[in-house]
Amino acid sequence: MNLTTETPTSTSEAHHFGRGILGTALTQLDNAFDLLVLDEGLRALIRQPERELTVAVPIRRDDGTVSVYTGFRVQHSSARGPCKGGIRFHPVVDLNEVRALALLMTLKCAVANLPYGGAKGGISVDPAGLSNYELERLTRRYAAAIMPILGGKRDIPAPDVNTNPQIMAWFMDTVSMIQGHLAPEVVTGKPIELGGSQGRIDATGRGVAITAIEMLRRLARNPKDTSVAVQGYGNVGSHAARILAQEYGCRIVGISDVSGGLYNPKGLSIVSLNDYVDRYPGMLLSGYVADGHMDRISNEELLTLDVDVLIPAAIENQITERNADLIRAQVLVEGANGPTTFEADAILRERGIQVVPDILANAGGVIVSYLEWVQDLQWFFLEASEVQTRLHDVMQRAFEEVWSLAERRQIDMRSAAYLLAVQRVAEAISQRGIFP
Amino acid sequence: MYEKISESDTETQLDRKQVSSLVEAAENIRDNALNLARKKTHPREPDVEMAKFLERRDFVDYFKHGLAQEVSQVIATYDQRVQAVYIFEESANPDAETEEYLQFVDLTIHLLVLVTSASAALESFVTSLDRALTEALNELPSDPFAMRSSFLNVMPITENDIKDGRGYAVLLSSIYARPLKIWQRA
Repeated sequence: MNLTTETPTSTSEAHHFGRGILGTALTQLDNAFDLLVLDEGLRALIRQPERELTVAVPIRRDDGTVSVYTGFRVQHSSARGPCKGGIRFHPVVDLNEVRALALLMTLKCAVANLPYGGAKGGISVDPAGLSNYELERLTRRYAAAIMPILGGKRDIPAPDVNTNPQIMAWFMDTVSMIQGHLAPEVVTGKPIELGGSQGRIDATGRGVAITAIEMLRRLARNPKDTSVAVQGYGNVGSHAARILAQEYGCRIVGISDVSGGLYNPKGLSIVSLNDYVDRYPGMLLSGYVADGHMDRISNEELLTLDVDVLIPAAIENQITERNADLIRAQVLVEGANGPTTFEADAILRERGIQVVPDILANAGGVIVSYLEWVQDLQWFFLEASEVQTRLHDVMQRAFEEVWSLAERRQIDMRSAAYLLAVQRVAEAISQRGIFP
Repeated sequence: MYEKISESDTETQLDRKQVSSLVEAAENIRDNALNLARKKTHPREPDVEMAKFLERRDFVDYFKHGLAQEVSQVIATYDQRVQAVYIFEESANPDAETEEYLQFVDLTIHLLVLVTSASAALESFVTSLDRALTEALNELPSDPFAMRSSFLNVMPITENDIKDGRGYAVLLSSIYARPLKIWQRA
């Protein structure tokens, strides 16, 4: 997807990326363009990143030698506000994928109506090959190198693959030292002690739960009479299950992780499961001593359980044209990124299964990231309960806006989410005009 | 009780793991990984107790990665069908932006092992290796390690799985959370 050297046609992009996540996103983007009847100039402007920076990141190794790595930062859009997006450290950081991820961030922020555009960056490096001092030097050099395009009002990075709050702390410290004052607003995902936000650990899972409940409300379903299955019992899935069970009274009948799943049509004991997870962190569900009322099932079987709500919260491409016809849930809430393939999406749509798309359902993390930034700008920090309340309000409003648009236009929720996002970005660009 | 693993390895690019039992193999894995983690972690005061190191998140991350690399070498030495090994984090959620440092360290070592064909023998070997490794790691002066009953989650995948995007093989083409290759047969 060479967006910087040509104006791509929709067909070529979608074909380039096939029917994977990116191909699907680009197809959705084009659909939104068509529905909004946007002119070619605006389309090209929305497709193309505003700015890209490639930097050399030299560091002195512990043994005195110098290694040079390549770092990137792609800013897709600042039409609605500063750019927002993670920084990843990975040997394979493909620039085309970074561009596409930055675009997806623009859309995700727009759906949630956050005053952000999207960005993404990273360094081509295997972080495990560096010592912790080398990692620090790498982070600091990268921060200094891309600092000309960063800032609380320009571009605010966050953790991503193989980066974490410690790396964000070094990042913030580097920028602060160069600027001459503490600047916590320059990154999010920081440790709490340095201006990180409370209420973030379960943010994404909570957002998934909120959108599930909002969908149930629209379908006039009582959460207490609702059965739920969750694929993936990591950070997103476990919190979504816990919140749905303990705060809304849903019956969690099936959960699974990479080792397999558990099923009890009368409901699993989330308290007991979370106690197991707390006492044995990272232990897989295969190690959980199931009582006599539970069955062990596979991940594939979990997806086809006869439940009201299915939450794929593990990895992408789990619901495909191979199993879409076997899904028995009435509602699917995408806790993971891209769990439903393009072909499966069409099958589910035809079958009348409501899908809450990932771009909406798993936006909870980005929303709390935004709240962290707001707190840092004001030097006023919220309690966890306040953060949760604000997260709830933003998610609820975002859901209502997408739902209403879907109803009005008689389209599915994924199309409505993309349409709403593109509409917001296009509106901002149109009102701002083209400089000069 | 302990399986004898193959001593032959015709790939000269690999270090040969001549071990007489899985117990010894597991202890070597543990000790090599600890040494690697100590080298990567500063400050390197020699008198710091291992228990103190194991409380540090960065040390544990390096240790876990070292374990993964060592386990990969052993598995690959045992089975010539192994072509490459990747490590992934089950809870990775890029774009979440907020909590990449989970409240706890996921000590499970999640590996995708690219094989030319599936093998019950490999599965059995991995189970035995996990048992031996767990015993070795239970000896560490750290509750999270001492209390575990298993550490390895090894998932064999084939090229066809990758092509068809089956199960966790789909991660290899993921743009969100691509696994890290930690071993490759030359």
